[in-house]
Amino acid sequence: MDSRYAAKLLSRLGEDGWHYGGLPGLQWEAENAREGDRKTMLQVVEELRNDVRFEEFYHACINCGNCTSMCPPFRLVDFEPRIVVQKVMHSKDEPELLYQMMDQYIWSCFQCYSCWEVCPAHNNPGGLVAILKEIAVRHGLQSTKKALEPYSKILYKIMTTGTQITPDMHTTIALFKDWGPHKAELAKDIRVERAAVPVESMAGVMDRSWRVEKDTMRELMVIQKEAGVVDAVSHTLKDVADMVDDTAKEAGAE
Amino acid sequence: MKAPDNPVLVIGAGPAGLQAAKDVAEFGVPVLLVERRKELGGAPIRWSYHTLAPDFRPTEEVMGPLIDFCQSNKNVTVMKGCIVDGYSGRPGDFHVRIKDETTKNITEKVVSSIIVATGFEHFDARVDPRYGYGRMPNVIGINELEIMLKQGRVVGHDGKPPKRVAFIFCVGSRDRSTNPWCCTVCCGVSIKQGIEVKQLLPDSQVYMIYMDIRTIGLWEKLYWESMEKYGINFIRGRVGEVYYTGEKLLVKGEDTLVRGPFEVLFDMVVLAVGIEPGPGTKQAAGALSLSLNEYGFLAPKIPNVHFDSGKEGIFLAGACVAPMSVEEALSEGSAAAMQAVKLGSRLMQKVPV
Amino acid sequence: MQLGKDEELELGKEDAKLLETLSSQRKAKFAFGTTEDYLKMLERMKELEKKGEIIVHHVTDDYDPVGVRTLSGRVKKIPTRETWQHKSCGQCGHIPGYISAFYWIMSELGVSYVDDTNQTSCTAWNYYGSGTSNPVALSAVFLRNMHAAYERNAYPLIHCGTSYGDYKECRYLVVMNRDIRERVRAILKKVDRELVIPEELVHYSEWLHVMRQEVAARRKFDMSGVKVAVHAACHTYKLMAEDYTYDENILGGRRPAPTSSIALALGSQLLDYSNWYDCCGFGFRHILTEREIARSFAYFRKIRPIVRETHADVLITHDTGCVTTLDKSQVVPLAQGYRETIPVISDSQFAALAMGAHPFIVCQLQWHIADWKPLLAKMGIDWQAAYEEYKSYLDKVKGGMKPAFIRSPPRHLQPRPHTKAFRVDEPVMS
Repeated sequence: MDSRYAAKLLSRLGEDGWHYGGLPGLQWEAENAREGDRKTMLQVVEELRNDVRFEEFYHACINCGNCTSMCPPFRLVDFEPRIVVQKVMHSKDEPELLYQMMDQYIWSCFQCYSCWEVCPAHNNPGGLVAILKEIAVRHGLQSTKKALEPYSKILYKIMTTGTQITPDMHTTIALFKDWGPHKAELAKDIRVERAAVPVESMAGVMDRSWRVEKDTMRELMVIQKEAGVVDAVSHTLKDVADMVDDTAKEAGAE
Repeated sequence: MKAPDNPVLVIGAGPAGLQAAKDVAEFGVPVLLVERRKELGGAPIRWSYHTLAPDFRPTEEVMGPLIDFCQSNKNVTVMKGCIVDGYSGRPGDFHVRIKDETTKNITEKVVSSIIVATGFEHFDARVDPRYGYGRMPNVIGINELEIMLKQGRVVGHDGKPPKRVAFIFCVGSRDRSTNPWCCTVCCGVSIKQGIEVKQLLPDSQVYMIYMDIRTIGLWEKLYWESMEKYGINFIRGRVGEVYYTGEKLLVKGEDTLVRGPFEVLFDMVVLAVGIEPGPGTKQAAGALSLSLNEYGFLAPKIPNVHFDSGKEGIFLAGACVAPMSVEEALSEGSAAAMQAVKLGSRLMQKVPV
Repeated sequence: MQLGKDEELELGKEDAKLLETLSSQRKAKFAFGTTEDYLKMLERMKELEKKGEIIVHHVTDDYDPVGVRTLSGRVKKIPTRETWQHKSCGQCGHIPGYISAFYWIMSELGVSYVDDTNQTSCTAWNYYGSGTSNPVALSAVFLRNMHAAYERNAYPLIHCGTSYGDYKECRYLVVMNRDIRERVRAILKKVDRELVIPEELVHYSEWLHVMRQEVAARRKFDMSGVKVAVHAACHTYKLMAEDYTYDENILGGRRPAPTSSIALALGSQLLDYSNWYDCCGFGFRHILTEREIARSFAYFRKIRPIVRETHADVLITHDTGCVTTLDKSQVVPLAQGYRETIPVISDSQFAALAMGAHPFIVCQLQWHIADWKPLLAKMGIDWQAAYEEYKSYLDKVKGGMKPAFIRSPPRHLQPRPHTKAFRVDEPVMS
């Protein structure tokens, strides 16, 4: 065998001699994990395993595929709850496997928990993904930014007002552009339509889901700050976190 | 010491119990065989097993001679429709209360030792609603297919032979929500039945949807033969839901190796229902103060030594200890018989216990 | 296949009974770690209350509760009056008829409720979508809202499936994990609140379920010709499934009872379809930023099979996300030439329509995209006349008229004394 070719093959092996080729659809991520920072990898595994929910959500996996058989996103994209649990299962000895998922894979999950309901081993793949997403945000991982950027406006709104989808979103084109002409039709007179809703707490309220008291929003911002949410977001979307901080200050949430 | 004159009590007249009774009787020692049901033969007879894996041997060839022996041999006294209700005394001189389940009459008997062979029950698939058993037509258990095979007529509820049949493995097995253990035989039995369906209906398509194939030991040849000779298809995965479309059965699952998610229409779905301890085992454990393990099977003193109940003079045999095949149950019956005879002989020689 | 009629099951009555019992046992062990764990949590809650570590907001007789059987086999108390309406961010934001129809039903039935502006959403839509929260924050938001309800002496009734699911998870964590409990307690102290945990977490669909006979008694239209398909929200019955309502007499206990039960009680035909257990495609993140995936799933896994298999007149469901996704996701496929379409509304809108509520002023159907006109026509509602009424109503609002707001009947309970009174604006019956 050509020694250069052999050297090239060997260079694909990890430090521990494993070759992480990646599943079909996971090639990019395998590459990414090869280049990943080992310290972060280990940290990700540790944070997952130390999460208070971990013991409840993870047991062991016999690869039966029941979770995937009921998984909605699997119908459309390369995402399998079975793979998630398998990689979590092996993550202690092979942190690369878990890290491979962190950047893109986990963001495909619908969080519908169909997998949890059917697992014969009582694993909760969706729950594990929720924890992993939290960790990805905390570490500001590469594609987490990409996943969350289109989300910024909503993120800011939810963190400062406690509501997120609001009638004024009907008047802008950014979100829900595939709602078609109906949306435009509704948008024309949206203020009157909204003013005519026969529920006092909602009538005429355009920038919130309902009328929220100032003090209520202040309390929410205190909670978000104290519980470390604003801090975690700052690793991924710094400007959103800064804006929330400013708004919190104005509201007296210190 | 009257010990050797006292009969050996065998509870349960399935493969293990019958084999135990036969072996003890052939030593010239009297046997009292107590069976809760009205017929002898246990599960293979009660469920009309057509043939036994792995050699397609008709059930009667195996069970018939045992039943005939116990019914005709002068050393064997058979009490049908009876259960053992309680006991006292010590090895060689146990006083047992035997209750007739119909008349509720209690008979007291003195026995030298006791062999418990209360067998198993097939898992009731109604307990796991995702397979639709008991709710949808043409969803049956392997036990019911066995009856159809015996009659030589495999048909759906409309009387027509199925074109496409799915066997779903591990129903009520290897699942923490129902029974977490492996039943050890249903892989082999399902494949055996798949072959028999193909023999009967050569144009049918047969699918085995399995988690792992556990055709242990010599049963492995069933696995190979089913693919090489009969073209049976194997899909690795577990079914998440069966849905009745009003005409056919839609089976949803993931092929974890080849196909990805699948949703396929079948005419018949056969559930490889697992093995679980029956009410007879629980009742006998109560009557004889035996301990059950976490799964409800009788717990031997040492897990590897099935016959030793941990109580002097009480022996265990067959599927009341762990899921097993007929061939294993027969050996266990023999092993327990040996223990009972050994104990009788030791008591006769007045060897201190 | 039509549900609610069991002839085809070919089962004797006794068999059927056994089946129901067995399947409820089986399902009870089905979803969460174990049912024992769940029941242990409820026991632990009692212990903590006894020790004075937490306050439990009990479903007392003041709330006139009705018992329902849950998946765990336990009887759960559903409050029927003096409820604190915990609103849903999505419903209120763009399908307001969901709420107005529900308030209208309660007010028609003479049942008092509190519509409090001192509440935030659960923030869990955002959490499941983006991972930008954590158990402590979620639990603190949960308990802040629960405390607000406690102050008002009204029992929380949760509108959103995700809030309901998230709160069940949070309650489990707060009760079972001391560390989380203490961290949440410290945060709540900063906002001047105490740790009050509701004895029961109740989704509004469970309220409709227990009130279905009262609703049906006020039915104005003959619904027997209306064919209904139901979609249940994943977070009500898959996320900590133990706590959701099942009824042996509704679909043999094999699927959650609420929503199906209201369709049956109103006399409409309930139809089954092969992808019943599938989600709607919402996906939390996908509905906002991966629209193609959410839309494709909603249309090709739900809408199209539902229409093809059932030919139903309406799809009813009980959650923000489901109504949104299933309704709005029909636009693009229809524009591309696909033909299957079905109106999607909430069970509260469906029930209110049957009770004679105004389709536009009360049920706000104009916010829904998929064509609801054939449904209204089939129910015998003159939608054209109703729409004209709505138009002139809109003109009046435009001219400065205040809408006639739906109001709760007078309450019987006073806000709790010695707690931080926030705002009290409802008339109290003395």
